[in-house]
Amino acid sequence: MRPFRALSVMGVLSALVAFAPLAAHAWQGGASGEIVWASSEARGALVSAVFVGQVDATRLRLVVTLDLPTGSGDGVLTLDLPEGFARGRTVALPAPGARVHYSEYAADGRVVFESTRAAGTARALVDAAGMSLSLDLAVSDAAAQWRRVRGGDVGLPTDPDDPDAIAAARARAPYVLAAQDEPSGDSGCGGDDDELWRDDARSDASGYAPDQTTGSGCGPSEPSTASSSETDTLGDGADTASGCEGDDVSADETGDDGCGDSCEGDGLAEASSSARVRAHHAWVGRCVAWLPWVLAFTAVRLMRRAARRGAR
Amino acid sequence: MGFVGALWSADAAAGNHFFLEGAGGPATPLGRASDAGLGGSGGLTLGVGGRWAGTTPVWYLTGRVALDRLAERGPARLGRASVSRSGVELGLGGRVYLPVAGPRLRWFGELGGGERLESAEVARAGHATLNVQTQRFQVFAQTGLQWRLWDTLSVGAALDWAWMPDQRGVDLAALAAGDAEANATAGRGRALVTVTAHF
Repeated sequence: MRPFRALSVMGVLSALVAFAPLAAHAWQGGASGEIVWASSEARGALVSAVFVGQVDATRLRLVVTLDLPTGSGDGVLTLDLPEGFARGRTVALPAPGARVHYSEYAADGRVVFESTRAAGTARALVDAAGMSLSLDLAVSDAAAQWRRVRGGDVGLPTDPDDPDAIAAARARAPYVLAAQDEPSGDSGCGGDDDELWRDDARSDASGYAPDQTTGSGCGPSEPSTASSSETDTLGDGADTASGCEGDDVSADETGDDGCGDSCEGDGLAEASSSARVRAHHAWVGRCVAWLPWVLAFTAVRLMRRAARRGAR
Repeated sequence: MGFVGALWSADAAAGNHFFLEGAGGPATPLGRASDAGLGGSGGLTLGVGGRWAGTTPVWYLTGRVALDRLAERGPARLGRASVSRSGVELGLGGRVYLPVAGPRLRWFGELGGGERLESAEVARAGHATLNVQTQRFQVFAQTGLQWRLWDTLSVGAALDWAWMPDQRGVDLAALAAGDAEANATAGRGRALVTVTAHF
C-alpha cells in the first residue's frame, strides 16, 4: 500500500472513530432552574428542577428531577416522546407513542407516588442553540392522587455554561435555565417576566383536578378560583398573553388547537451536533485521532528499516 | 521524527525499540457523589523509543486505545438510578522505565492526554432510559512494575488514573441520575495486569 493511500484510509477511520458518537444524536443538553409543581395535598410552588434531554433521530427523551418541598419526597419525571414533538408542535397527552412516567421517592428510596397516566400538553423546539420546552402535565394514580408539573417556554441551551449558547437560547425562550441559574427575566416575548411564574404558583394554590378524559389538547383545566387578571403562561390563551410572532408553528396537522405559546424565532431548524463540540475539543480530537495512526505508520517504517539493516 | 530518530540511532543495536502492551483489570469512577460500582477495562498501548547512550532511563512515546465499562448509582431520594458507562479512550503519552532490582524488575510511569468517547445509559425502574453521548478531553497517569520474563516479553501490574480537567462541562448522565454536583472534573481509576511484547 502506498503511503498516501494508507494515510487516506487512516484519515477516514480516524474521523469515524472521533465523530461517530456525536453523529448518533441530534441534540442533548441539560440545565437546572425552577418549575411549578402542585399536588393534591400541597399548594402550588416553585421547586428546583434539573432537566436533561436528548433528541435523536426518532425520539425526544427528557428526565426532570424535582427537589420537592420537605415532606414530599423528591420527584422524577421522564418523557419519552415521538420525534415530531421536537419540531415545535404542541401536542396533547396522552398521545400515541408518547410515554410519561412520574415517580416520587422517600429519602430511603421507597416509591411514595407513581403514575404513568398523564394529561396535558408538551411542546419542544430543537435547533443548534438548544431546546425550548413547554410542559404542562398532570399525572394521577389509582387512588386519585395527582401531581401537576408546569414549565413555561423554558430554554435548554446546548451548553449551559456557554454565554453565547445561553444568549442564543434566550432570544427564543423567555426562561433559559443554566446551571444553578434562577429563571431569567430576559425575554424575546413581550409580557413574559419572572412574575408570571409567581402568578402560576399562586393560581395553583387554590387547587386543581386533573382532566384525564377530555383530551382537548389544552391540558388540565385551570383552577376555578384563579383570578382572571392573572396571566396564563402555559395553557389556553397563552398566545394572546405573550403576543409573539410565529405562533403559527404550533397550529399543525396533529389537531392541536393552538395552545402553545410560541415565540419569535420558532422555526423548524435542523439540529447541529457539531455545535456542542467546542473548538478546542474538535482540534484536540482530530489530533488525538490522527496521531496514533501516524505513530503506527512510523513504527512500521522503522521496523522495515531495521529489517533491511539486519539483512545487510 | 527528531525525537524518535535520536533514540533510534543512539542505541539501535542495544535492544528493542517498540512495545505492544495489553492491559486489563477492574475500573471504577472517581470523584463522583454517587455510589461508584466496579467495572472493567482493557486496552492496548503501542510504544516507540529507546535509551540515550550513557543514560539509564528508557523513554517511549506511547499511543493507547482503551475500553472500559463503569457503573454507578444515583441517590435513593431520586430512585437510585443506575448509570452504566461505556468509554473508549484514545490517548498519546510518554513512558519512562527505570530499573528497580537487577535488569528484569522495572518501574514505569506514564503521562498523557487524549479524548474519551463515552456512551452512558441512565436507567430507573419503570422510566424510559436516557442515553447520553459525550466526547471529552482527559489526562491520564499510570504507574506500575514490570518483570521482564524474556527479552521479548514482560508481565506487570499498574494503576491508572484519568480525569477530565475541563470544568466548564457538565456530566449529563450523572445529572440525570440526581448527582447535582456533577461536573467534568470526575474521572476513573483502573487496576491493571499487563502483558508486554518487546520487539
